[in-house]
Amino acid sequence: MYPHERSLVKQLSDKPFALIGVNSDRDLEQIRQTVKEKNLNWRSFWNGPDGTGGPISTEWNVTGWPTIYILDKDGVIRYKNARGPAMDKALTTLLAEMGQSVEITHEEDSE
Amino acid sequence: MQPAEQRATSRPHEGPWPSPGCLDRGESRRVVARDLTRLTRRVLTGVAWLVAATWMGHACAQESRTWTDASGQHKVEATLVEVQRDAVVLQMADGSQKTIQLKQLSEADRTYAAEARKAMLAENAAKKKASAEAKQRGDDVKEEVKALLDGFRQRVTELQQSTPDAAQLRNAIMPMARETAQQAMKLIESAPQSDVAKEVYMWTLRSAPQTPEAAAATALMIEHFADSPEMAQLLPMIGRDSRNLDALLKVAKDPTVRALAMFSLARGLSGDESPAAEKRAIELLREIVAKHAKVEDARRQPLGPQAERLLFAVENLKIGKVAPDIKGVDLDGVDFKLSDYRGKVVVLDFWGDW
Repeated sequence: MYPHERSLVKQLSDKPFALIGVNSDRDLEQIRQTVKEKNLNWRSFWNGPDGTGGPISTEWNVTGWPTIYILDKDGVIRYKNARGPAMDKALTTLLAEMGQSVEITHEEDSE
Repeated sequence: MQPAEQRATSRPHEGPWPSPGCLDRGESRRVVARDLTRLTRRVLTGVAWLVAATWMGHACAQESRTWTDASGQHKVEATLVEVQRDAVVLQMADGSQKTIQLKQLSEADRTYAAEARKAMLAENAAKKKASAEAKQRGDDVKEEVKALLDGFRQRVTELQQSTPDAAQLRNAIMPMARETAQQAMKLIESAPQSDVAKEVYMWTLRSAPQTPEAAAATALMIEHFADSPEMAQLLPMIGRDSRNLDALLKVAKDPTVRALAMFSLARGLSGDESPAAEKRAIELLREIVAKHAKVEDARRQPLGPQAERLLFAVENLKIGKVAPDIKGVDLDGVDFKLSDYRGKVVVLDFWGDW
């Protein structure tokens, strides 16, 4: 996952795009370390010390990880759980709606 | 009607018949003796009716009685052994048994025989019922099941002593548990509703989880013990399997079991994107919120607030709806909101490093 996400964030850095995480690790120190070590280049909410039982994932009824929502510029949910090439295609579509033509390619192999 | 112990009487025979007589009742003996003289004559003329009887030991007081033929002229002392559809079997004093057609008997004797037949049939039916009930209760397999499960426990204890490595121990126990479950399930097959069967189902679910035997045990628990206290324990094991939960909801009457099953089902359906599943999930959740809000789950949390949250998720977290805002802190402790990113395409990724 990480390489694909890193690659997207990098490629779309000058586009109206953001990857926002909701991290459900219990140990905040440890995940900070991981972010540094693996060069995870996106911002995340922390779901709190209850991990997967934390407030955000509970409100969003998340029962499987990862769970992915893709929102358009108006905050409307447009796709659920689109991953890999499906995610790339969804983003291309949504950015095109905003008049942004992008072609997403990945140099790093997806995990 | 057991043939009673025969009194040793050695008397001269009249013709081919044993001599009559009740040692305890002289009067009765005289009647019988007189009648038998006539009977003998009748037999000799070719109209056979009865053989003579000697008085019988204990049956004398309780079971032996005087039988009279249809003409009212011939009598004999005998004990009723069996009443057939159109005949009686009588035990004579000499121990021999004779079958007499009902139509050859007096009306009083026919009535007596009819009542005796009724009583015998009732007794047989009661015996049959008792034995069927014992079988249903699993009485005949209880001991075997106990021995089987005790044997398993003993082998596990032995293994625990000889196998210190936990993973190795687990690998050794698992096939044994499954085999034991198979045998136990087979044993109680004829008594699926018995308490011993319930023990076997629950044992299987605990000791051989996620096996075909456990799946069978789950289905049988649902079929036969939907409203038992064990069902509430079993619900978390059923998880969100909609087939089992639907089956349970068809039969369960216990409100707690029903509410927990409805919630599990709604949770399973909420992960399904189909409109039909969504509709059903919403119906179930609304019913829980309205009627079963106080029912507690296995972690003693009331269902009401949980159902409300899930209802919110099902109704709002679908394609085409504006995503609810998230207000929180990032990994550096800085406050931010999801809505800060309005105007951009957003991938919202629930992730964890595990």
